[in-house]
Amino acid sequence: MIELRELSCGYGKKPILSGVNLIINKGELTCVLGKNGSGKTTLFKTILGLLPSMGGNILYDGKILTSYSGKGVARLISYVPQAHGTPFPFTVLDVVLMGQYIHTSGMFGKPQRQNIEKAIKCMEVLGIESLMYKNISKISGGEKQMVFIARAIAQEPSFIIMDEPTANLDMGNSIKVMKVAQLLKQKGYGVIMNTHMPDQALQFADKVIMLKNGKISNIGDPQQVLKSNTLTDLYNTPIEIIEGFTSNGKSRKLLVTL
Amino acid sequence: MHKKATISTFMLLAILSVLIISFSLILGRYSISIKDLWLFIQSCFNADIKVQPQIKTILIDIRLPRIIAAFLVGGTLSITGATYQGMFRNPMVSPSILGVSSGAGFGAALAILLALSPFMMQTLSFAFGIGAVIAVYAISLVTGKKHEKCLTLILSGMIVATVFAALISMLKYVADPNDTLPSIVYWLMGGLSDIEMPDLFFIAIVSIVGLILLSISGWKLDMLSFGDEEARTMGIHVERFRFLVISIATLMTASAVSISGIIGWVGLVIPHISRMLTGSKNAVLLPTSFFIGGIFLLIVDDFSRTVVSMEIPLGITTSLIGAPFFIFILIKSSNKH
Repeated sequence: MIELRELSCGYGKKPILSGVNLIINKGELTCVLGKNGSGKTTLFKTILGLLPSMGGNILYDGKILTSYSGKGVARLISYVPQAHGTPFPFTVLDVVLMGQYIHTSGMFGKPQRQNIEKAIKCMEVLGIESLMYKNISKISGGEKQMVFIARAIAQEPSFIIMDEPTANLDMGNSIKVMKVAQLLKQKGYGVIMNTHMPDQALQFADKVIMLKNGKISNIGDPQQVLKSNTLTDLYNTPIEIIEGFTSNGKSRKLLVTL
Repeated sequence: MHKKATISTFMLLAILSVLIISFSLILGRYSISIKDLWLFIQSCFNADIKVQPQIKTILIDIRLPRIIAAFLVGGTLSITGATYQGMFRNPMVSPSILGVSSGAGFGAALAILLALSPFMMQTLSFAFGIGAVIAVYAISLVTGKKHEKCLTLILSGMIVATVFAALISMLKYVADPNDTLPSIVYWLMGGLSDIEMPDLFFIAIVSIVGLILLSISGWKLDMLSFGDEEARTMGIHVERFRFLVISIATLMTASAVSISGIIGWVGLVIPHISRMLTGSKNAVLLPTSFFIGGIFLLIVDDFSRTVVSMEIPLGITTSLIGAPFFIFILIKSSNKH
């Protein structure tokens, strides 16, 4: 369990977010919503220890997260960044294998056969093992996202933080990534992600967090929290939720702008 | 790259190195045949075999030190170039990005101006090379925000290199145009003509230890080439690791430049050629770069010392041979894709 207590975070001297109180559980998919610049990525980077917190505490199972070493944090939480890449042509296997670094020994680390086997297993979970020897810069955006999710799983963490995992992806690939997020949740990982598509939160999330004016404005079950008035207020544009039916008769809520 | 392919690449590079070193030994104004060289090699293991003393002197005192120097300098510049390219996530980076060459150049120019001994010149050059990088690191600590570390390091490198370039110009301006000025200019163009065996002791140790340390750091460098934040979330202590890598690379480059002068191009191009051969994994790329760089500079140095009666400075030849070669490689690789 990750617990944020009165957390303030931001760059420089002025906090972007303050007074954040939050509990994130394993086996849950948590979705963070908010406008551009509302502090979603800043919150993630602070939890990951990439940014120092400006006040309050982050606790992991009751223990303050800053007391863990970098390797210690990496064993607990892995990260799928928004923009990733390297100018060099690594193979997909090389990239996924990097997730196993924290599970190797020695000052410099050296991947062993079991590390490679684990990396391949992670690729199999996502069905991308056929890409193994492909150049990372030569695969599609959707495939790339899967590779970085596989690397995050290869760290064998308890929580996976994904920074806008569906940004820049087409509809089909976005759904694929969301289904993977759901699969990971079912496998017991705590998945924390942010998105600009509240539909995704409505359909897939267990918990929704709305960030506005440097604070959490709403938090809770998506069916309870995602209402026309809260979304209209969050994005400063009129949004309505309507109900429709799929061809097999299932009821679905949809977001429409007015 | 698969393990088998990696092993055969290294075998090939080792054989190629031996062949080119042997060829370089017989190459020169005093003609030594392959038979003479073979006799000389046998005489090293069998005291009964006698070799003409002048052949022995030429091989051991003149050609061998220069060949070892060319190989080590080429290897060192290439491996540090590849390392910095990975660390700074930029394929256009060379080993002198953090000001080491400019600092070393100033140290050597100062020693020439003060008419110090060759040993003192190497020492001053080495010390100022290291000093320049320490200055760069200090400036980046003062000016840099944590998340822009690579950029502040590169910018600090440019600042320090500019200052040392100005200081070198100042030394040239005050130097005696008949005597010291040509020496300074010639040193800055790079060359290995005055190398003797004792000069090689230090660079040999530094480059071999550095080769091993950087190669075993290869996997972590791979991760660093995805950026500081990603590397940190994978469990790498980025600041500590980068400091270690910069320290090793600086020691290596400074020890090379202090005996060879400034040789551009090698540290930029050879990593690209090596990457085309072996892929991007630094654990394989770095040692490959070392050997290819060594072979390349040895060939270029052979060319420099034999093609015309007056020796051509190495910095000129590396660029003249390297540039068209690089174009050829680029065309070849673009055809492949």
